[in-house]
Amino acid sequence: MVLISGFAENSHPACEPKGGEFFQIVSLIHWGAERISIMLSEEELIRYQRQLIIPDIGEEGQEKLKKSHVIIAGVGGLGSISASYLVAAGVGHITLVDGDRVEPTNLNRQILHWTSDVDKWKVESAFLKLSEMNPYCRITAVHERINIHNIMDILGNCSFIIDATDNFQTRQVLNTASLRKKIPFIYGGVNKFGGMITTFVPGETPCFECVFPTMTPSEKSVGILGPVPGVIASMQAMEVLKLILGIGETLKGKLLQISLFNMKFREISIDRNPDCSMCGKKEEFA
Amino acid sequence: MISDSVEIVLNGLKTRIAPNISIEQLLRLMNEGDLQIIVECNGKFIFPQKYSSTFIHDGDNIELINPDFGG
Repeated sequence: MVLISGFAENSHPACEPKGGEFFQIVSLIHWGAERISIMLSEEELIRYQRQLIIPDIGEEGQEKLKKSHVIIAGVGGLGSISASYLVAAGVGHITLVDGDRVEPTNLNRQILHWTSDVDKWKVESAFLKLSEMNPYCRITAVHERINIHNIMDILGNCSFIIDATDNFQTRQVLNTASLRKKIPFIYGGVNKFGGMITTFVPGETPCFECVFPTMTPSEKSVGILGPVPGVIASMQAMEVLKLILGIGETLKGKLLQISLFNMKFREISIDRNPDCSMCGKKEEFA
Repeated sequence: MISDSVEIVLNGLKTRIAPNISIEQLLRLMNEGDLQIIVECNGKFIFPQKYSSTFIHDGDNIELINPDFGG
């Protein structure tokens, strides 16, 4: 596993190019962790002032955000947006996972990656931008393709999974991990002008495979217009923030289908499937 | 009197179909062989194992939805 973690204002060997490869670290590094204080500093109180004055958040809510750890699986169209909003909002620890490099065809929608980032690892590009966006947020960047063998190690102590992947198989892996760890899994997917989102909470709502029981072959090049993942991923970020803060109404048990082509939003009620091959059948997930 | 057809809303369009047909039969009529398609009936998700036992009634609102898995 290749991983870097840290704060922007520090320079660390993990961020220095070596032999043409950006990432050289091959074990978990949590450098900078000692700088995390649960107390909000004066600078943070100013930085988050416009959300601190919301009565549902306040200092207590901001501290909850600071104590939270969210994993964002995929740093493409969806992950660029959800990561940006969660980092800006002051979620204390974000883990980014992606095994791809930035390609020119990503640039119409993956707004954490810029023209000069083409050919860089996506996690490297995202890490640098996000670290600069909010130096009070600890960012862990994992250059890895998620699979059933590495996911539990990657998750570590995180409490929420944001799905920002582009294929069915990885979502199955994330679903398994969510059930095993009993942590919420916020699904989002996009295609052309529309998308879908829901929040799966083990033991409380259906799981991913209740709703999508049949393996779907990956379509590597679906058409997507930038604002579409922008909307879906903003909603995913909002779902996580509400879950952390314990406020508002979430998409638990509801699949929201959105068409930005004709501006239609539809909510579909979803239940646990008693015949689900994952949460319905496997005792460990029941 | 038994009607020879019922009116439903299918993917947003008013459509007449034969009475007493199941979701499974409707999918066959629609040539929707895609296994991954999901079905919503009157705002509620229908489990695939219920397709053959869920019958469509006059006035039902059915949506056949292709899941979105891009990112």
